[in-house]
Amino acid sequence: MNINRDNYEEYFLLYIDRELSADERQVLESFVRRNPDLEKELERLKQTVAPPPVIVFENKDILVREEKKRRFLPVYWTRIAAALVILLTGAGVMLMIIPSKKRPLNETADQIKKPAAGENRNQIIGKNRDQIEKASSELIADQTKNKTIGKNSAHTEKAGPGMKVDHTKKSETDSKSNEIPDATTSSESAQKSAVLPDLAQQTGMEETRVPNFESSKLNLPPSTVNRQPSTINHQPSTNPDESTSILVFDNKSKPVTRFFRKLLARSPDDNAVASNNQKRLSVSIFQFSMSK
Amino acid sequence: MTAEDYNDCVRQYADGLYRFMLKSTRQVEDARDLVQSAFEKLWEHREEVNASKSKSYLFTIAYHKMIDLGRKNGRIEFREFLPDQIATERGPTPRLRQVLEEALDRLNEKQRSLVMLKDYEGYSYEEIGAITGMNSGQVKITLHRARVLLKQYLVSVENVI
Repeated sequence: MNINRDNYEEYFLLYIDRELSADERQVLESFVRRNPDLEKELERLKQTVAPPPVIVFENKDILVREEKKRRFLPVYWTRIAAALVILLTGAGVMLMIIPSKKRPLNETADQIKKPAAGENRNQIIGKNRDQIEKASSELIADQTKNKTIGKNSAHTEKAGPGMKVDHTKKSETDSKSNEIPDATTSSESAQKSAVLPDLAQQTGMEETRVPNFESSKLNLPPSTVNRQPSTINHQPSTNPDESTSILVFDNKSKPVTRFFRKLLARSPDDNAVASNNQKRLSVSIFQFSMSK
Repeated sequence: MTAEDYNDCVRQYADGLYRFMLKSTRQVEDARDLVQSAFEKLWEHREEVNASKSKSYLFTIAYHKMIDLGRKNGRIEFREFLPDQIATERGPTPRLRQVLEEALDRLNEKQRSLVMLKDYEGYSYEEIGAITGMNSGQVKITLHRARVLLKQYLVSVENVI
C-alpha cells in the first residue's frame, strides 16, 4: 500500500469501511501519526459511520413457523363400506342372472327330446371335430389306395366272372403279401369297423362317394350296400361317435352338392355345419330318413 | 435449512432487517410488510437456502421488494419520516447522532441503503454488491461519495453550532 498526501482520502474511507487488512491498517495509522494535520480529517470521516439504532420488530411470533406434521389421508370407512356394498350387490345380481340364462337352453333341449347323443350337439361336434379331421386326412390317403385297388379289381375282372370268389381269396392273400388293405373285402371291412367303427364308416362313405347320391339311393349291389355310409340310413344312436358321418364328394357330384347346400340353407341350426370349403363339406349331427 | 434454523433467523435477523427496511422506507407498515414477505419467502425456499446464507438471502429479498415498492408508490418522501419515532425507539441521543440521522436523510436511496448495509450490518463491498445487484467497485465509489456528503454535512452543522 502506497499511501501519501495525494491519495490518503481513499485509504481513509477504506479504513473506516473496514476494508483494509491488519497490515494495511498499521501502515495507514503510522502515516497519520507522521501527518498529524490529517488526523482530524480521519476523525471526521469516522463520524460518518452510522451506529446501528436500536429498533425492534415487535411480535416476532408472527414470523415463527413450525413444520406441519405430515398428514395421513383419512380413511373414510363409510366410502369403503359403500363400495363393498355395491360390489357385493353386483356380484349377487350376476350370480342370479347367469343361471337364469342357462336354464332356458336346458329346457329347450328337454322340449326337443332329442336322443341322448344329440342333447349336447356342440359338445359332440367339438369332440368329433378332431376325429373328423383325422378321418378326413385318412380318407384322402385311402383315395389313392382305392385307385390302386380299382386297377387291381379291373385287372381281375378281365380274368372272368367265375373267378370272383377266388379273387376275393386272392385279394386277401395279395393284401397280406403286399400289405395293402383291400377295401372291397367285406370281411376286412367288418374287422376294420370292429376295431375302428367310425373309421370304417368313413371308409365306406368314401367308397360311396361315388358320386351320385341317387344311385346309392336306388339299387346298389349287396357289397356296396354293406359299405354304405351310415349317414344315409342313420339310426339315432347313443354313441356320439356313431352319430357323426362324413360324406366326401368330388366335383362331379353336383346334384348331391346342391342337395346339401339346400339342406344347409334350410337348416335352422348353424352348428350343424362343422366346416365348409370348396371341396369338402362336413356335416355334424345330420340325420334324415329315406322315403320308403 | 431446517425449521429450527429458520426460527433462529427470525430471532437473529428480524430486528436488523426491520431496521434496514424502516430506515429505508420510513414507513412502519411498509417495513413490517417487507420483513414478513422476506421471511415468508425464506420459509418457502428453506430447503434450498443454506443457513449460513440466510441473512444475505433475507436482505436481498427485502431490498428488491423495497425497490419494487418504491417504484410502485413513487419516490419516498424522506421528510415524512418522524424523527420523534426514532427518538422514542432509540431513547435520548447525542447531538452528533441526531445530526448524522439528518445527514443520512439527505442521501439518495441507494447511498443510504449502502451506508446502512455497511454500518448497521457490517457487510463487505462484495456482500453489499451481491445484495443490491452492484459490483464491488460501484459499491465502493457510491459509499465513498456518501461518506464525503455526510462529512460535509457534519462539518457544516458543526460550523453552525
